Amino acid sequence: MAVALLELRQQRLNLAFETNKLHNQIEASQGQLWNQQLAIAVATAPDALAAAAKGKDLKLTGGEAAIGRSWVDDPNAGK
Amino acid sequence: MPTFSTSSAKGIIIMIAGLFAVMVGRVAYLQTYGRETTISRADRQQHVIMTLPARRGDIYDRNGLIMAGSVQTHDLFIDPKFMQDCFQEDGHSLGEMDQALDQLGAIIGQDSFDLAKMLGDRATSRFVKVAENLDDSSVQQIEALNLPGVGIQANSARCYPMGSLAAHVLGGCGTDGNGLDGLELKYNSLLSGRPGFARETKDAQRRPIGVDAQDYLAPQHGQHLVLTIDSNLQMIAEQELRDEVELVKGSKGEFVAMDPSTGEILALANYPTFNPQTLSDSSQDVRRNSAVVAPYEPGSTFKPFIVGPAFMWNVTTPWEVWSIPALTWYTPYGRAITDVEHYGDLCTWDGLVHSSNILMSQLSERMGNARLHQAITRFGFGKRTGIDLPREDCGVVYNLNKWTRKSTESIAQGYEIMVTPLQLARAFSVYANGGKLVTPHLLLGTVDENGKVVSRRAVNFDSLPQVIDPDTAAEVRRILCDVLIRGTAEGTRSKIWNIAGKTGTARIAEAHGYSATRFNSSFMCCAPYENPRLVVVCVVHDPDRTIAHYGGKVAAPAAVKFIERALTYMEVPGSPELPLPPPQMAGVLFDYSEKDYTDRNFGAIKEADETQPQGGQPEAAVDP
Repeated sequence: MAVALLELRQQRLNLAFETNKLHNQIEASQGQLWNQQLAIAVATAPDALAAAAKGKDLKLTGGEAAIGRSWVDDPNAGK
Repeated sequence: MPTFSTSSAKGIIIMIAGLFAVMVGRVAYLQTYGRETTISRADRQQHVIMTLPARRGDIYDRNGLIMAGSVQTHDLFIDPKFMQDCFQEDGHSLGEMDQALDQLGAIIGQDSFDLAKMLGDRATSRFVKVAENLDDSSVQQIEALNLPGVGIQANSARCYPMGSLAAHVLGGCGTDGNGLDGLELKYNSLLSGRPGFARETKDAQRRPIGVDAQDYLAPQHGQHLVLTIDSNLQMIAEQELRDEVELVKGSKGEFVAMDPSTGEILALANYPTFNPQTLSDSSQDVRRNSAVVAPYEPGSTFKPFIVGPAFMWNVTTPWEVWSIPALTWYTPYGRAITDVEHYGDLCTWDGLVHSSNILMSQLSERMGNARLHQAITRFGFGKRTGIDLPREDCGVVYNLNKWTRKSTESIAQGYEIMVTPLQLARAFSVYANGGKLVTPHLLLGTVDENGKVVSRRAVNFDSLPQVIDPDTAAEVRRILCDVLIRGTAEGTRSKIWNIAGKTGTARIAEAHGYSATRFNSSFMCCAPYENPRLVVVCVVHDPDRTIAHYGGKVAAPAAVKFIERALTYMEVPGSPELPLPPPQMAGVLFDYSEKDYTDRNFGAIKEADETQPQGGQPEAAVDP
């Protein structure tokens, strides 16, 4: 009886250990996801994009290109 | 032959009985008096309680871009006593321990001697934090060493991926992770969440075995904030403000852009600015959110808030002509009031367009102090706007019983009263939205850690207080369109959108009166005139007078450039033709020409002639 009880106790401890390890792994992965999310945010921040696009001669919608005309009745609008 | 000695037997029995008695006594002690101590000691040996920090919530702009977030970092801690015990018990030498510390020091970039000294000084301690913010590769190397008593604890650090963008709105966090200013402080409790705990069971080697379910409370992570700020508009606002302040060599500047129908702040900028990531690199002055906490005397931008109620209360009409005989006019009690330019007699419409101090003084005299005070307070001046930022200033509006005879003219020109740029934006929204007083706010809603919406702010427009009737609001807005066409901001008119605005150039108060050479230049406007989507206030303090100092030359170009870029970004259709002034106005307007309104080919936005000195009298020449 005592041996069986000890065995059961040991199994419970092992299970708790495995669960704990898994939990830590999940948390670590979640932490890595957060870090990657922030890394993406740094690269896609408006000022970062503006700096990246500067001097690239990109035909962007909006900005100064649109100033000087009204697109309300522009037949080419949306094309 | 062995002999049996009864005395020896007695001695042995007594000894055994004594030992037994001691054992019983010890057991009795452990079960009674020493029970608590024993249990707590065993508990301390077998369990370790770990605090599980809650992750601080992120802050998103209205498009879902992260403005502030938390990155996971790792801290290295050592249990010096356990480490030493292990190295001694396992038959290792202390030299091997020093060798292990050498390896550890190399990974974390610390001198092993310093490390050993630190651990030696706290040899009896069970927890010494050795390094912070370790990267993943360092953590892996440390774990590979498999040193006894060495552990890694996950932590988080605040990160601002947009750098200094919206720094004054966000505020910043201290090293303890709590907000110090801005939204980080205002919503600290929402963002912080609640930490959890885990009571780990350890084996004899103090290695974690597991955590019982009842010994674990998951941390409640902080909620994410979704702001009304649009980071693209914020960037445009900061760019335009910075360019303008640097161009005119101003000491500082503020910029507020809000949606007049809801009170949502779309951009709020101050210059100079700072990076919330490195708060210690900036001074307290730079970190102050002046747009919200630093009131100033607005000068002529204040005039519409007197004219509107005057129309509503039938004190005057837009076409009433006022006698302005010369550049200087004397009040009934002999105070000299001066205009920048003499236009001759002006109607009320033109008084606003050309920002006539004399006309405004005469109008205020007619209104009387009581109605003047009532007009001001209706727009919310002298009270906090209620924006969700800490330390908001309520500005200065003296009680009516403290007003003097001079107050009438001073207030009419925007002196003897102090407002924040945010209060100006809120008050001008009244004209933009048809007469309602909105509450500026920055929080659009909150989202929990799983992305579920917890709260969402909804504005019931109809329930907002009505300050001005819609007809009066539309009338004043229409008059203010002329400011950019033929008034004090002439030359800043947009080719695409009709903009209604008002300039202000106020002398800066000094120790012994008002400065003759230092000014605050401001401009507030809304666009498009037909259905305003934006209200903008731009203030530049103390520009170099040899470059430019009038509100129409300093602040208006920046505000209009912002509006053009912002409305383009917001895909707001261009304005139709601006309606001509009513027929009864045509005969009384100064230098009226229908062509001014119908000809949209007036060229690109004219820049203020920044290279030429802008002399002349200040717009508001007040005898302080």
